[in-house]
Amino acid sequence: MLTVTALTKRYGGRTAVDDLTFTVEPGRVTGFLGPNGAGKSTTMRLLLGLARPSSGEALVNGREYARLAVPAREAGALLGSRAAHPGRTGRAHLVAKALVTGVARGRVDEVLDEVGLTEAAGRRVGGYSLGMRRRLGVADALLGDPGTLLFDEPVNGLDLDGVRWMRGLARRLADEGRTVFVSSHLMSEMELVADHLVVVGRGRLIADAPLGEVIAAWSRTHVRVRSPQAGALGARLARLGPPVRVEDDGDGGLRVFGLTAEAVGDHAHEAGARVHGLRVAEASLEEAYLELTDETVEFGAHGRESAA
Amino acid sequence: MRGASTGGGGVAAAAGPVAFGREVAAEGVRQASLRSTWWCVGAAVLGLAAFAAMMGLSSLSRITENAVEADSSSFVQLLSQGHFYIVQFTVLTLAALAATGEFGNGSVTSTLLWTPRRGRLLAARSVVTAGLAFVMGLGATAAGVAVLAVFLGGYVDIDLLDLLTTGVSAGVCMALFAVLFVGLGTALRGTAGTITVGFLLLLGVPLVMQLSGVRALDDLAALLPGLAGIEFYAGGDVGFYTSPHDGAVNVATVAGWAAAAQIVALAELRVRDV
Repeated sequence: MLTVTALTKRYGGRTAVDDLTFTVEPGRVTGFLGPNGAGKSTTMRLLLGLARPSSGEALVNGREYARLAVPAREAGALLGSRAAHPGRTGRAHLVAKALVTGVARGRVDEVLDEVGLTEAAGRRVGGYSLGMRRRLGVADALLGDPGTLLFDEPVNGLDLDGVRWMRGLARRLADEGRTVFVSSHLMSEMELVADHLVVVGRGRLIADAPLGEVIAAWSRTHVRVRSPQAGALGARLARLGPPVRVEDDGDGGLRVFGLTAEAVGDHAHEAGARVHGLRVAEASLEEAYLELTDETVEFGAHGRESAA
Repeated sequence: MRGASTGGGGVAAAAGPVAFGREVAAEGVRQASLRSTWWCVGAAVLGLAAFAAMMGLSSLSRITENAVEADSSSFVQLLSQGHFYIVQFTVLTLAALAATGEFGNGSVTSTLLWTPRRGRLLAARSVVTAGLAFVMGLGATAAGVAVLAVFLGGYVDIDLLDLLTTGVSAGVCMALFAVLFVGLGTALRGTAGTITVGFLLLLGVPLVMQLSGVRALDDLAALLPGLAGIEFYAGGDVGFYTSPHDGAVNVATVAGWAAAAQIVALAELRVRDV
């Protein structure tokens, strides 16, 4: 269980994490979603005591990570793929960790087997592929059999097999009743793996809700209609009032929210507007997310102005 | 839901000394599993052996030309110079790598996840590196003695007790250097910077201070770790001018440097994010 309260982290004049408050509950996969630079990694580092908050709290099982009696027993983490010294063998990396907390040596073989690295354990980490390093990182996170797991962008750069394996792992760990907190900048990935979403942009909380609710709330499915008499049609549709909403797409077309394509066609007929195009535009969660986070992208290539 | 008491693979909270012992064991595995560690140990022993061979050969040619020269061929002096020019730099490299390697490749985050008490990590790292450095000082001395004996055994009286004292003193001094440079490296976090500053402290700066010709600076140079160190393990028989001081003050000087570096390192490691 992770508790983040009014968490803020500033680096010089830049605010990486801005007054974040949320909790991550056990027994489900909580996705931590946001564009690159949104403060996801920083939040995880604050939770794990690797960085100090400027203000607020980031707690693991109600305590600061560094103050837990046996931290590795309560939380394990996969932070990027640079967790192990390249000059060390995978086994030596894990054995050193087992020694620190008195984890039985047999546990090292167990986790190596679990992530499929038994064969490669005697080789130096510098010769591992990205996928193997990620698996070693997972073995590291699981070694203390912790109740809480934090995975920072675990599928980045993995091949399809690796991605599937990681999804299955997150699901299984949550089903075992553990707290699983997985960050990603990929909406599509979150749709597949998360039960609950915490969405951030520029260090601020955007949403904290079950996946289904986020999808529903963000749904931007609408009808697109093109007509030379768009003005008259738009005026007629606008008079219908909520939940119907009309936007001009600035290109001789309208975006109509809250009506079916059939209804829009009937209204066009009534208004005497010739219809040159009529289609339903299904907005994916991905688009909704992009729209939502567009204003909050730290390093966006272009600054699209929001109409709102 | 998973209960709070489900198996942790034998994980349990440990009291202070036990936890520290475990940390030392883990740090031992961390350092022993790196090839660079053994390269440094090997460089110390082989380096001093090679130095001894060179010195032994040149002393031998002097002695065979003039038997009186044998009196001035002191094993302690030759070995101490070898420690000063070679062994202390292998210890610097070892300590710099031990302290900064994990910062360089990012694995320090993983290490700190398992040992969030940063002071404990620094202490364990210092202890393990100091242990290795002691072995390097003593082992290099032994190798040096063996090589010198091959060349000069027939001409020079060998006082084993004297040589044992030199070996143990060199070991102690190298251990203190290890503590000093683990501290320095932990504070600086960069391997190149640590080795550069270490080199300047051990050799560059005191050399320049002695070259200045200013008496006060020359005397002050004796308070830098390199010169204080050689004065200590050579037992005053260095063979070149180092210091107006004799005896315990020299080892105390090195210990002071080590303590200061550790205090800075601890303060820095505790407050700075990784």
